[in-house]
Amino acid sequence: MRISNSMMTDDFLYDNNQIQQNLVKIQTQLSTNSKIQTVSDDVGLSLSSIEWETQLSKYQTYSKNVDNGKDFINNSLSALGSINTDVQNIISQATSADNALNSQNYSTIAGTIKNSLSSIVQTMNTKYNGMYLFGGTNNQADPVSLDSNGNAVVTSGDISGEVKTQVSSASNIAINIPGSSIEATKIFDSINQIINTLQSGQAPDETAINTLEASYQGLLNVQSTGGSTYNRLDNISQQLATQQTNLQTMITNKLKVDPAQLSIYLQNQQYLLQMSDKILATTLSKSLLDYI
Amino acid sequence: MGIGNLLDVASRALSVYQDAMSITGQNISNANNTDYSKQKVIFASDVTVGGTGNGVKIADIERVRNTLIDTQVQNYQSTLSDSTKRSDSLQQIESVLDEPSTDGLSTYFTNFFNSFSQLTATPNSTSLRLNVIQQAQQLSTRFKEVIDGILTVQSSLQSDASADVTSINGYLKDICQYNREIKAATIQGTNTNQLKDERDAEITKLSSLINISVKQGNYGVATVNVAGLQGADEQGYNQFQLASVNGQMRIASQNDSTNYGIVNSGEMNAILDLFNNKIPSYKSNFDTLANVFVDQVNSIHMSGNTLVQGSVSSTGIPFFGKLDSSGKVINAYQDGVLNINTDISNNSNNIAASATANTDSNGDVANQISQLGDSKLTSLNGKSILDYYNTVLNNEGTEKVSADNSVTSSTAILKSLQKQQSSTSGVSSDEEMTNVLVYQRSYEAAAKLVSIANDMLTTIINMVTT
Repeated sequence: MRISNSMMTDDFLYDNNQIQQNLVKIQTQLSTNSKIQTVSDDVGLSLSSIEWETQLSKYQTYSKNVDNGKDFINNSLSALGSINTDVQNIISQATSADNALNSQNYSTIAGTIKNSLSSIVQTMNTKYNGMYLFGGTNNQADPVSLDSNGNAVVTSGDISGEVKTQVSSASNIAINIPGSSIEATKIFDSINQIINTLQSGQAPDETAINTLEASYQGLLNVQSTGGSTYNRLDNISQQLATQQTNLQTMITNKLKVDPAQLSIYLQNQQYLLQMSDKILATTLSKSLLDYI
Repeated sequence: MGIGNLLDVASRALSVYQDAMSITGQNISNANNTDYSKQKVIFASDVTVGGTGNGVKIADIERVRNTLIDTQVQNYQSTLSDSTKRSDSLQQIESVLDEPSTDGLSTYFTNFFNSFSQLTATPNSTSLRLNVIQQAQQLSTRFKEVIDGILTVQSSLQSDASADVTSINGYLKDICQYNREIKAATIQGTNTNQLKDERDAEITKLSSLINISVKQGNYGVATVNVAGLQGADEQGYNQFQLASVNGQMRIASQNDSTNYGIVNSGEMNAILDLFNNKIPSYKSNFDTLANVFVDQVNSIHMSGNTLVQGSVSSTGIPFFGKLDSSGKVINAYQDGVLNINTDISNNSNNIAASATANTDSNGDVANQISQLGDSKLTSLNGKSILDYYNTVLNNEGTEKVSADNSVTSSTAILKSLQKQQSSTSGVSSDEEMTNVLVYQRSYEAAAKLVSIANDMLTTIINMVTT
């Protein structure tokens, strides 16, 4: 092939440009720590990365939901523990009153039980994040209250609703202990009856005490169920943390660059560029003209 | 043959090699002129009527050119410009989409659905409700940016098309003028090589803009057709304009605006295809995505209940748009904007998260909206919103890859062809310097011949005087 002057310069410029394009690509990958900058860099990997990042973002949201759920159920269990203690105290006081030696102290015992009842009412109306712990999905008014006679009553119409949180794309978990599961009406009726009996100067009705003891057992069961919910949320939290770590690792493996490998490529391209420049500088400077 | 004739032969040779040296000088001077074709001196023996030799003459100054390669260069130049323009424009659209990154629409869609997921467990939280509104506003803003960006690319393509048509008209006018000068010079018998080089350079530039066909005619005239329509010859030239046919941009003759060109290559082909087909298709896909998204969100949201305000909750409130007098949702998606219902943006309590009336702590509807991101929708051909969006990205990305591949292959082929063209028509300094030496020696030989003839004449004169 006949070689003309422009062929030599054109070839050099083309090759030089190719090397510089490679250099720019490597530099961009190194500075962004990512193999792809746009979809067309690798369509399949780009779309996969979008799906992975979306999934990772969902996992992070589910983790927040689970943490929030754990806090809610934890507060509910703590409150329930307080209610249990108060109910246990009331049962103890009522049982001690069922003794002729204490007949002079009925009024005092009634006062102590009333204080415990007030504490139960106050605890049942506790809020977390602006939501009643035992109000179900009803958040309009206090779930329970003391009426004008000092009797505890359930004031909110429906306290049975479940407050749910999303822990996966298609799975929700109830994070509350609905007031209805505590059987507050039954407990309050028993306590109200005990107080009223004591205030009237009589020993507490044994049936009421037995009913309250049965309710207390029920509270322990509810507490146990709540504990199971907490444990389940805790397990989900750990699963989500593992899934996030695995996904993050995969994203890193697939998308992130190997700086050592790229640095070697970079050095190689720089070497080629220097060679290309050197060759052009050597060959272009000489022609027949130099020897005439 | 007399001594006088010998002087004539030597004198003619001196003149011929001076001219040949001049052509070599011309070649050397234009060694770096990419439009220049190497000129070659064709020597011939000058023969008298009687058949005896009369020295040397320049039979022709040949313009070394391979028309077959020229045609191929023009074709691939056209293909390369088409692919390059396509790749550049699609790169602009990729910049607008900005995927994969934290600023892509996928992030904003995900954040929107996640905000409802968080609201599920604490539906009466003001901060989480405000977060839902904030995420919706950010999604709306980003969506508008994407739509505006796509339309800006389309608009700039129209400007490019206008500029290209102006260039095409300019090239055709120039080609006609060169044809006229070449014909006149050919008839006069003068050298037209320079004019042909300049005309062919214009033809190559024209080929990068639009598909052309070139036919070589008498007197060195080239007849150029553009997109199947008459372009230019020596008699005249056509001028083109942009025309709009059913919303489609076309190129048509200025003389007959109903006479449309069939564009299938060159930068104009990329512009027309992107403007008429590709970009409207992207825009349409995004419109479909937005309409389905607002419809689905509204459908769920309108079934939900707001927080209790006064003494009761409300229902039937769309998240996007507003209700007209007939109870129909209007203006949910308009001109690239996802319009958040002002009743909601002004009062976060109007987000309907609850599935039942007057139950503020119920987040079932918020949960349904959060799960919408994963739902397969018949209105999106069985795809989820994010899957559909990824399909749009896939189409754009694949077209960009295809254009990039075409740029790479066309560049390689064109480079190879240009190499062949340069090998044929390009100037080699070494070759020209060799010619300089050869012509110089020939000139010296002719000069020596004159000197010898002079000596011979002197000898004869001396013989006479003796």
